[in-house]
Amino acid sequence: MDKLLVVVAAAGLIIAIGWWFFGPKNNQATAAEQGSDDQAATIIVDGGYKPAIVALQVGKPAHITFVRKDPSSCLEAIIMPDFGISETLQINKPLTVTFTPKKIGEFTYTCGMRMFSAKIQVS
Amino acid sequence: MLNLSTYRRFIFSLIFSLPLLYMMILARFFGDLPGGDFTLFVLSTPVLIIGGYPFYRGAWAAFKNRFASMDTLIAVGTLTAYLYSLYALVRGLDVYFEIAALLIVFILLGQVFEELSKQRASKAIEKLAQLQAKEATVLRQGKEIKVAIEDLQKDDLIIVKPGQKIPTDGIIIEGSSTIDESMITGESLPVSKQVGAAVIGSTINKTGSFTFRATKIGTETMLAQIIELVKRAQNSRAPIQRVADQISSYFVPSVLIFAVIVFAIWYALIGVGFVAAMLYAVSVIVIACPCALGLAVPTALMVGTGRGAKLGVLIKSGEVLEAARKVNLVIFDKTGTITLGTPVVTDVLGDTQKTLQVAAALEDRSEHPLAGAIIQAAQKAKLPIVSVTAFAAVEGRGVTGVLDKKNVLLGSRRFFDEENIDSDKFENDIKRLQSEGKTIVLVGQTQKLIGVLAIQDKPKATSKSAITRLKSLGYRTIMITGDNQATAEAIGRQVGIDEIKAEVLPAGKAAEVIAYQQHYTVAFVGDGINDAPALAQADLGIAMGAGTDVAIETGDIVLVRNNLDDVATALRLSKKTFGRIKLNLFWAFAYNVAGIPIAAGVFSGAGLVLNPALAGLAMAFSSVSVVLSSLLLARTKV
Repeated sequence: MDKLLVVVAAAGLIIAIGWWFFGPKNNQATAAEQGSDDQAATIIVDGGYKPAIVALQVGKPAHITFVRKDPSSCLEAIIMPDFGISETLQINKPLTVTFTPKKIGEFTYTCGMRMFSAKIQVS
Repeated sequence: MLNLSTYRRFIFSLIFSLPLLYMMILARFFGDLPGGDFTLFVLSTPVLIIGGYPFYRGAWAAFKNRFASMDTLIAVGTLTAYLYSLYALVRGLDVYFEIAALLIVFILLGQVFEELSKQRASKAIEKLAQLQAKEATVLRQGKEIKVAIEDLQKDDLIIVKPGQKIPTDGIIIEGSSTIDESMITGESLPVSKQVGAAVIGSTINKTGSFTFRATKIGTETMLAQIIELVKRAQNSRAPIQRVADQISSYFVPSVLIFAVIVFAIWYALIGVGFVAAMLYAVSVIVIACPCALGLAVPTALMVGTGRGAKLGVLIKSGEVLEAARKVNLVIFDKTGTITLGTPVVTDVLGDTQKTLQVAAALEDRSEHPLAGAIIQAAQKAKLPIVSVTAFAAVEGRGVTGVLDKKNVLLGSRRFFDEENIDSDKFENDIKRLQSEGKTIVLVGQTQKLIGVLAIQDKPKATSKSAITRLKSLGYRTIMITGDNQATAEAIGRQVGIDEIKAEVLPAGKAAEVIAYQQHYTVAFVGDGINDAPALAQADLGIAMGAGTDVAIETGDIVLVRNNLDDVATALRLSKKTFGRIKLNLFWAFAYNVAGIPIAAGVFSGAGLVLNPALAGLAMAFSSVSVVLSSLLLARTKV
């Protein structure tokens, strides 16, 4: 009897895991604050990148400030190959990177170990 | 707790875990520790708290974001073992505290190695950055003041004394000196510079004093650009990496699901006890940790490009490595690449004075590579140089103008043939000079040939050995030049090149590359300015010389030294780095792919099992071996 219970519990657990991690995530893009000749956004680094998608305008210099709150070693480096950025983040010390997006599209950036990723949408 | 370094956490955890290790391995011979299971609890708890805290925090933060990461696996694995052991302690059952603690120790070991490798790899960049001068003596409002390098402004007048480091890029406006530029250009002999010459920041002034105007400061300088390039390359994306990226986000939750299935099968289907089934599940979770996978490409790329930078070979990105390893044909530009690029007038036929004077007058305005040689020859002969009027250049043929109201022209034999000017007078001499590898320039006045200049741009001292080396490595070599066939063949013979394409117009170089690309993967070696289209068209563009921004812009690989030998070095290094990346990926995958079924107990019938602590050790081992393998790239022969 308890074996049956375990199987049912296992099935339930599997469904829960699947739904939680694979289910649709909130993929709304957050627009960067637009200035007259540049744009800025702040991204909190804590178990991932919040907001997960930042919308930028093409051709304008963008200042992105990362604030790392997560001690996980996965997240200590930020790598944006499409913009040539590679920096180390210290906990609770904001770091601003500046670049000008030249192409339209969706660009993925990742943590040092490429386990966490987030996107920059340029339009 | 947030700020304890990885290394400290590792040592702390190791110290507390050693007795636990004893318990696991040696207790059966020498007896248990006093206090039994309770002691195990006391020893392992601090390890989980101090050593494991960042993993738990990270796993929870990721979980809230609906992400699962490596931390998730570590957290679930260690907490399952620990919490069950607490229950077992109370109930008097077997405990597994040592597994939880040792898992943390092994994982921290892997991370310590990772940090070591990152430090080693970034040493290359550090060394480059250290070349930078810290302060400069600036002339402001008539006074000499010392300023920090960050406070320099464009157009500042900077004074440099003997033995000082040149602070930034600029142009000499007063004085002269010899400068050691080896750290940037690899040029071992000091270069003499006069007024109007460019100087590069971080090079060392030897004997003279001079004042120069800063043209580039801060991030625009040559040194800063090289550093930036190396940094970018170290973190660039190799296409092979994309596979790893895509798998990452699905991998961990899938492993969790699989672990639950493994548990259910062992407990409910096969009927082993709860604990045994749990241990199988924990082993699966631990062995699946993909940290080695995340390290495979970046570490090799870091070490490879860092090593390249030390050797004066700047590799722009991971993608370049893939192109480099497929190359089987190397096309060289002649002037400035195979040859020194500074031609000298060796012979003058006909009326020497007149010929030189007319030639110099025409070339005074020209930017043709041979112009310098002609002007120099005229200067040496102490002839006054007057400029022509109505100057016109015919691409790839020659130049025309008006001097003393007479039409004058200068150019190739082809040009004179097209202009219907007879050159048979010097036929034999021309043939002789060409067979010596010299370039022939005809000079004419009022539709008559008045003289012939022979100019030679000699091959670099290293060119022959460089080409020989490339051939011995199995590459086919070709030289492309605008020069005539005879001269090209002479130079080609001197350096031992396989094939020659002569009389190719500047615009035609890229077309030649395209033609060869039908059958080969082509690398083109040239200097940035003239060869940009060919460099861009080639599968691999190798730009020589760090003297120009254009070189850095257009090349996939930039050779900082003007040494042709570096072409072979660049190709070998790229191949080796790429090979190392593949090896790393293979090992990282192999651990996971082979490890998961074994940990799941698939082979338990054959006696092949993996208990959680061993799984942790194997996983740490995979990280360590990938990092070591990448570090060894710094020592392989190239």
